[in-house]
Amino acid sequence: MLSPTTPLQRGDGPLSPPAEALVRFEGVRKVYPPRAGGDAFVALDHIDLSVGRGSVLGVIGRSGAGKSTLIRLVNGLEKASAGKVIVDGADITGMSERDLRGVRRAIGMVFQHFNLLSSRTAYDNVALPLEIAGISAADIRRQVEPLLELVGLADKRDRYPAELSGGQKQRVGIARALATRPKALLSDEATSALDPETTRSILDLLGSINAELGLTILLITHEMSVVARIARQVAVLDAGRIVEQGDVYDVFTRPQHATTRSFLGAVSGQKLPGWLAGRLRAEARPGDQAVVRVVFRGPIATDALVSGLVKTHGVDVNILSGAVDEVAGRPFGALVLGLPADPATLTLALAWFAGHGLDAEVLGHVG
Amino acid sequence: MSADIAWLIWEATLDTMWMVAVAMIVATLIGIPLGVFLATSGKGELLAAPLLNRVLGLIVNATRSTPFIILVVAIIPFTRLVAGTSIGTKAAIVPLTIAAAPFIARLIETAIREVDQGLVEAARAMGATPLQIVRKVLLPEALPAIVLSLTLAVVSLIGYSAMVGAVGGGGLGDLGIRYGYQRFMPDVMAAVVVVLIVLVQGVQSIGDRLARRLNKRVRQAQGPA
Repeated sequence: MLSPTTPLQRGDGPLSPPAEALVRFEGVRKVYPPRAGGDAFVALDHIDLSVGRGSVLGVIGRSGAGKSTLIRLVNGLEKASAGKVIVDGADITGMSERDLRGVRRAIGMVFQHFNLLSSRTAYDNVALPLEIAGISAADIRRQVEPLLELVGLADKRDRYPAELSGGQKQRVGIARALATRPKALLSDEATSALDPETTRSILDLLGSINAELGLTILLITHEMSVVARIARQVAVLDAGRIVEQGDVYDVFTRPQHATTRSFLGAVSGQKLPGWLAGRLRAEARPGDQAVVRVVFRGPIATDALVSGLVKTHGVDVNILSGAVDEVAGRPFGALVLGLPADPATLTLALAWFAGHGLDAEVLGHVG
Repeated sequence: MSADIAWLIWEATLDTMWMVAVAMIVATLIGIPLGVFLATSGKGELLAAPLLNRVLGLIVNATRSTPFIILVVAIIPFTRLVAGTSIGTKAAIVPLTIAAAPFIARLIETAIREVDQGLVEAARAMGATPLQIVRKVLLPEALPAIVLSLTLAVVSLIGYSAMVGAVGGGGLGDLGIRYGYQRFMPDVMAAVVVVLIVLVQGVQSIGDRLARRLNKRVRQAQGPA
């Protein structure tokens, strides 16, 4: 097990040169004062994290891991107990409420439950941050119309939130977050209240905003699929600490920490199907098959690989389970195979996979 | 019932409406800011001022726990100071206002506290000042509840106004007691009660309708989507 204070640095790592980071956490700690009869609660500790300009960083963690606190430190809705939070070159940890309001106007935020004003139409909700910034009604109109266009809701401008679907509400939320032309967008579980189809469309919208407007996005989520779909960098948060961070593809295809593995689950073959896991045993008995997991990264024709093994070496191959997924735009998957358990054949098969640049691992045996 | 009596009832109705209207307007002008302050000035809240919040809370509670009829008598010197007299319909407006303001403040406080805290957080994240949050988020979002609160306050004030006959205030309650009870004219009493029922009914249905129209939280029947 890794020491929790030294998160693994993977790939190129998110620690790009300081000048390139729009948001940077330096040794941040957040402690909530004790409630009556309780102890002080350490929500975050030893947080070192950089969000590069124009990048998309996903922070993944279970509920209670400190994600919400982390994202709220960026716009000063929460204040760090120690360490520095640097936004666009300025340390915001010691800032007055007044100065923080200026920082907040340069950062958009979208929320899990949308947080739209029920008394305002879609148009007026998007206009709200501009009204708050003291912009004239004429200028507001010039800015709001294109934003509604951008999120595909031009025809819903006079609808109240109660008349919109969840996905439409979040589109209004996104348009609202973009209204003040922020440098960064904070996404607080923006898709967690949406169905899978709507989640994809919202993530694609965020992705295109990142690509077209060059907006830096920091998102927090408890869903691996969200990070896999739009983030390039990921930080895994567990009990207030970052346990693993780096390039999404590297972290997801070679997870080191148990928490990371648990998030990956069955999607990438990290978790065996129940019927198989229950019958797996370490020692081989006569007539058993060896259960081998083959993990592949990048575009590899899996059927050709398996049939090659069968044809070239005459090895019986039994496909037990398999999943192919897309992580950060690249294919990634795992096959769980049943192979003859005799050492010679098994060695041959493992050598065959290794020869094709694949990680193969014997998990156990089944009868 | 003679034409004279009918005229008396009409005049008493106008007196009641006048007392309630003036007291209501002044009490609302005091009650809304006070209610907003009570709802937002607690420890760690938007306009955090815990000490002032506690003091005002105590004053509001003290006023609200004093029985109205005692309040009327107890503040007679203050009434004389404000209204120039301590008897009559004009004087009655003072205790009505004093009784209604803290009542309205508590109702408004509740209405404001009902607003989703997520909206306050969203506004803070936009860089809104506390006053902007009050003006652009809390009050508009609480508006349907505020309208219902004020409706309740009007209805309660109509009830209170019947008691100000004790200090020579006019109005329907006073008429009902003096003619209906003391002069044994049950038809006057019945007429007074009927007028009061109609008044309360009318106020309540106007308030309900207005609140429903202002409430955008439920999808309303409209043209094709």
